Amino acid sequence: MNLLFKLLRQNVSLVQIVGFFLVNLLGGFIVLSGLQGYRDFSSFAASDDNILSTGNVVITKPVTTAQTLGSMLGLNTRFSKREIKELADYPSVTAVGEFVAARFEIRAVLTLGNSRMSTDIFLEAVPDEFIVGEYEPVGDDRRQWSAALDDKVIPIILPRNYINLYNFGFATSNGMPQISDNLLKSFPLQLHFSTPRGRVTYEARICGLTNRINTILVPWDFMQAANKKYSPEEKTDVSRLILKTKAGESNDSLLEFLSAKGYIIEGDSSHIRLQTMVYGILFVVIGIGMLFSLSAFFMLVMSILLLIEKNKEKIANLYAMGYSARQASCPYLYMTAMVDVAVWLCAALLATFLYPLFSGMISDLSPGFVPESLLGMWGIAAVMALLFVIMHGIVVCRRVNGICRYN
Amino acid sequence: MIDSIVFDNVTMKAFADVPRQGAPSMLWNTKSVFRKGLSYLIESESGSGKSSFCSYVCGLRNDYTGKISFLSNGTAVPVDSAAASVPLRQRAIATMFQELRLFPELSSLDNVMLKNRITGYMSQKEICDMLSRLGLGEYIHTLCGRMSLGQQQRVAFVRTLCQPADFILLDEPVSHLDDTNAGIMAQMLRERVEKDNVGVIVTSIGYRLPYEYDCVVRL
Repeated sequence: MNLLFKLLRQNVSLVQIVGFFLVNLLGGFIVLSGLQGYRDFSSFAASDDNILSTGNVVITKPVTTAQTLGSMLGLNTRFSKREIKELADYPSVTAVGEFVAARFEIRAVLTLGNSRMSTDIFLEAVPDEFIVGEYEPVGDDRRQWSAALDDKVIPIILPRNYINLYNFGFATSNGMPQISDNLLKSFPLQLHFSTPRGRVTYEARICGLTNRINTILVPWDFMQAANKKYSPEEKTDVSRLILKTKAGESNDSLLEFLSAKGYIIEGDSSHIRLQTMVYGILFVVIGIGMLFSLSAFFMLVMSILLLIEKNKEKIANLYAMGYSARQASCPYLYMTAMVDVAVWLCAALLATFLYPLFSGMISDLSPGFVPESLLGMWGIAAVMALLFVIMHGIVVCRRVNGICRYN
Repeated sequence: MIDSIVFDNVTMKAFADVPRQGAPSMLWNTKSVFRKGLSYLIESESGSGKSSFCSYVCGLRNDYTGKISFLSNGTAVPVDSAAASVPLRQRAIATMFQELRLFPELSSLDNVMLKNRITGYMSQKEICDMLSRLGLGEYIHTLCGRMSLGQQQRVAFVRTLCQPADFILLDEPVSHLDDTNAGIMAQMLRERVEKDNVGVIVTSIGYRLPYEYDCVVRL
């Protein structure tokens, strides 16, 4: 190999090789960082309750004056079975859940020292699969989200804006103490259910706060059992739905679909738009990186073809004296493989050192953001290097074979 | 192992439409057999197809009509593609090209070693000894590009011997050599023939390699 390399390395343009190396290094770094960012972001968006989470979307129908006046005539804000099926069939919707409200009166009582406060409240439930990851636990409360009718204590989830409303609206203007999340957890809150059989009392354990579902939630099974046992009424129609959307996908089209149907999205849908924007930025970044890498790929192709062209006579002479096309290709195959592997190795190393600086900044801004392992990125670098080696190898072999043939 | 090369009604495509002047060729458009162990001198003036003949025999060109067969114990060895001709050049037909095909940027020793590394036929010492016998002992590290044509011819000859062979094909091997060096070259060839019983085919336009030919073929 040494003699052959000594012969065929002549005319190698170092400037072209360095040019390829630098452009592909930049492209490779951007691609690998972009893909790692995509992976981290997708996992982040699919996991915890956070501002960027895909999360769930709660929808209702608009309440109009006509409906208010016409409710007796049958105008209502309920979702029909057909409408629910249509939503369930929408491509980016993975599940549709119904809100079930308590069909009996409930009074919440809070006793603090000698003072006793009470108010009528309502409880609702959604299927448990929609609860997973949808709330932030109060303190370290991550106990099971379930309760049976004969339990004494039932877990509940409050909307965070209730607490915010109290802390920053009521408490400050009325000289009342503000409530921290941890304090909230220890509140002795009692729920009195008024049922045909009399009053039933439960201790409520506030186990979490949610930004997404604007209601007081209890476990699904508990609510079903309570309605069945404590309410003589039949099941009521559904006027609020919760949709689970696919993680890792832009949900802009879903928002347009819901808007076209005249449904109202509860709360703020800006997280979905923000998510779409982040995905858009990531795609652009990855696209730019791919463009750099592809340019570099073709730069090396041109460079190597030029080199082979300059050495065409030498290759023909090698062939005439007994070398096979494969043997004559070896120096070029070896050279391109070395450069390809080196460049992707360096790109992966660069991304390994520089990407954590970026992901660290995101983690600081959004504590729920936990970067994934970089092993996947190394796998992609290895695949890309292999792909480049194979593609460059094919180009080299085809050209050298073109020289090593009958004259 | 190739023991004979058969030219069956072969002619160059370039000659197809050109009426031949003078005496008929003993090679083209007829049947000729070259046997291992015998020596042949192919003699003619320029332009009668000597180098083309060499290219056909070693499988570098196929611009001819008719059929060239390589026989081993009476059985044809298939050489029906450019790739299939590679083993032929590596192990059966050793060719010294008229245009030499040396690499000017490599030394004389490296030029020979470049071939020897794929055949592994000789040691570096044997190669140096052969170069020395041909008066190139002091030039083994000299770049071929800086050597005279006669010196380059001798390097190309040594390179030709650096492989196992059934036939040795020398295309005008002494066109730039003096009698002394031509004689040494002929002696080295004799030694190789005695050792391996190879067939020898030498071409010439007048000045011959001083060798005992069994057959002279006029093109």
